[in-house]
Amino acid sequence: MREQAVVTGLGVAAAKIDRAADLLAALDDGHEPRDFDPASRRGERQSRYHDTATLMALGAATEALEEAPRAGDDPGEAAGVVVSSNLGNLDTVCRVVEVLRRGSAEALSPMDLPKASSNVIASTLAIRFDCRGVNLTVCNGASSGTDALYLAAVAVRAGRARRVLVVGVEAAHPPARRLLEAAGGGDGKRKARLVGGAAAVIIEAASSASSRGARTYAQIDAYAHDKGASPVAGSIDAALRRAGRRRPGLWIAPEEDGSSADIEGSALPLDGARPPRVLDLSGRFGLLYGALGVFQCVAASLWLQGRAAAANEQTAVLTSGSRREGASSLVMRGGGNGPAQREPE
Amino acid sequence: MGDLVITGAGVVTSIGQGRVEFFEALCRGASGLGPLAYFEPRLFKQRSAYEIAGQVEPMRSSRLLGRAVRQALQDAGVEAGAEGMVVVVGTGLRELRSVELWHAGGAALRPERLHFADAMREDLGFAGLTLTLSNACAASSFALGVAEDLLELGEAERVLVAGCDTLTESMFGMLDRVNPVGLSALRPFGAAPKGVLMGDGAAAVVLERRDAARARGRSPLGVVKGVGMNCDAYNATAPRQDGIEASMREAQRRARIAPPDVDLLVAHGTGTEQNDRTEALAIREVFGRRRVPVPVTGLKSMVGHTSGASGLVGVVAALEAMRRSLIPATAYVSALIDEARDLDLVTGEARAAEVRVAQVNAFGFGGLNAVVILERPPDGPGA
Repeated sequence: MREQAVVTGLGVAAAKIDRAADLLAALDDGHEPRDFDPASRRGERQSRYHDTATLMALGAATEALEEAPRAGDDPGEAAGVVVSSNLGNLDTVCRVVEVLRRGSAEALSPMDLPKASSNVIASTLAIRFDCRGVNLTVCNGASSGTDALYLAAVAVRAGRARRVLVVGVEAAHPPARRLLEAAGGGDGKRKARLVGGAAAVIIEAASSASSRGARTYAQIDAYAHDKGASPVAGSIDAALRRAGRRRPGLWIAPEEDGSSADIEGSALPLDGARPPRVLDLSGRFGLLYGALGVFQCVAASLWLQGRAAAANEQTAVLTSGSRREGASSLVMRGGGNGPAQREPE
Repeated sequence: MGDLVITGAGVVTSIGQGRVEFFEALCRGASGLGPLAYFEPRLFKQRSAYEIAGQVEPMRSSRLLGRAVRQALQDAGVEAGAEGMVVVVGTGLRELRSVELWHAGGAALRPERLHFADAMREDLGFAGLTLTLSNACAASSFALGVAEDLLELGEAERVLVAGCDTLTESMFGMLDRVNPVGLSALRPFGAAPKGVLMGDGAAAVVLERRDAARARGRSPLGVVKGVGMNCDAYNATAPRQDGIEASMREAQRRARIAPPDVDLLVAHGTGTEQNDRTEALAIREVFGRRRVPVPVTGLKSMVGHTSGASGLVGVVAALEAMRRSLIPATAYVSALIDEARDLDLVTGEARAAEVRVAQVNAFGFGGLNAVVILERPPDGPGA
């Protein structure tokens, strides 16, 4: 009997969101996005050895692991890490080549060597939290965060890991902003600016969660990717079909191509008179790019916890990607044993 | 679940492309070392590397990937547009060279070209899921491990696993900064001077269930018995011996074999003091109880360190070694580091030997370890 993949911990490190539990509330407030200040993140010291993306990832992961700690006798061999980040170490690469061309290789700092490798975030998380299992860095463009969650669920379901720390992170350093914002969106101009941030979830085998006595937010039910003529609608439909679910109660839209026109003909009617509720994270927070899928998972997990018994309320669909790149959708199911409600302070 | 088999393979390196030609070059002890082709040499102590010269920049990695993938698909008799296929690409440096050229040279770059989905679609007409994993020097072996899991779960009917990397100026510069002197070659397990030299490379294999291959009338090139993947969780650049040992043991456990069963070990062998010492000690520890030492060879003295592509380049070499009953020698190495003196490192000439089971090691920065166990198909390998 295959393990099911469930969500047991959440974390966020982003502007104006102090903890994961505040993410849904932040979606209801109008606010101006501002750049993340690592020094303001509780518990994480500024470090000249870590780049901004790594610092944010550490902050989000710390929160998620506080909520879902490993059992004392749980060896690190079955604890994996999957990171989604496209632009994470571009600042290091660009800075190094500038210094190099102005002088020579002798002018470089050996401290930069680990950061030149795109897996620096995932490796730093593994070192900090003693995770010795499978370790993947997914750089898959706009759908990368959703694809990373998929691979974490695959690792759990294949028995490769008992739990996986999944972190999606992008840092809004100048080369990242130039590359992403200049490229333009589907209508030739991206509507928002790259703000960046990190989100973390703990994906765990259901049996591991229950043997810890942990409560679960939601279960990962299915995933699909589509690169056809209508990839957003196509991936939603394929994922819902695989999950054996019908109408979801929540849809979280991609950064680009998330309008009702893009899901025309799909299983998601958006006539306003009935579910699903629709959330658009980047409309509020700015572009999250490779981090989006994991932010979506945090939002969906919060929405699904302790959901009412009505069947369609218990299903959420999350989509990231674009018409141009292709889209990935994840179906999550709640209605299980939600964790105790976190009391606002 | 039945065996997973490789039904096609492709490879592109500085000593040749195509699995047959590549293997023959390895057995001849060819070297891909040449003067720096794409960077200003005066910036560096090291003025040579194992590059594939004569290409147009930017987007070299994507083009090498396309060549290797095309070979593998043709070898396997699979169309790029075939249903039910997923592509997983392991890379250490993705298109970061193109980022350098965009940042410092004004070349055009769209963000979606940092990963390889667009290259697969535009170059090969593949419109399914392409996953790009940036897993340092073990990336393409991790890609094979992910493919193993996807097939185990029935998430795909077949998986095209690939690796590709080209030199980046930033990584070459930083390695130059930490190498003590310029090097005349990369010498796996060789005596001083120690240090790594980068190479360009790409490789690809088609992985599917044995019964699916049979239904298509294809003879496998080899069986993937298991991939062990783990992380040292120790240091950003230095390897940890017990983490490496654990990855080897896990691969063997998944493959249901024991150290005496291994007929060939294709080492990671980067030529650095840290890797070579740690890997040699780990091999001694894991294989130490055998009466006869396991034959070990290193390819990087011929093709350089092809970063994330190196694991799968090693897999293609191992498949050919099994097919040809021939182990290429670790070229240009004679005097060894102390820790490697007890190893049966194949040096000098290629060695004729039956290879039924092969192990391929790949260890990357950040403690990423992936070890692949391959087996020769029982009814004989494909031509």
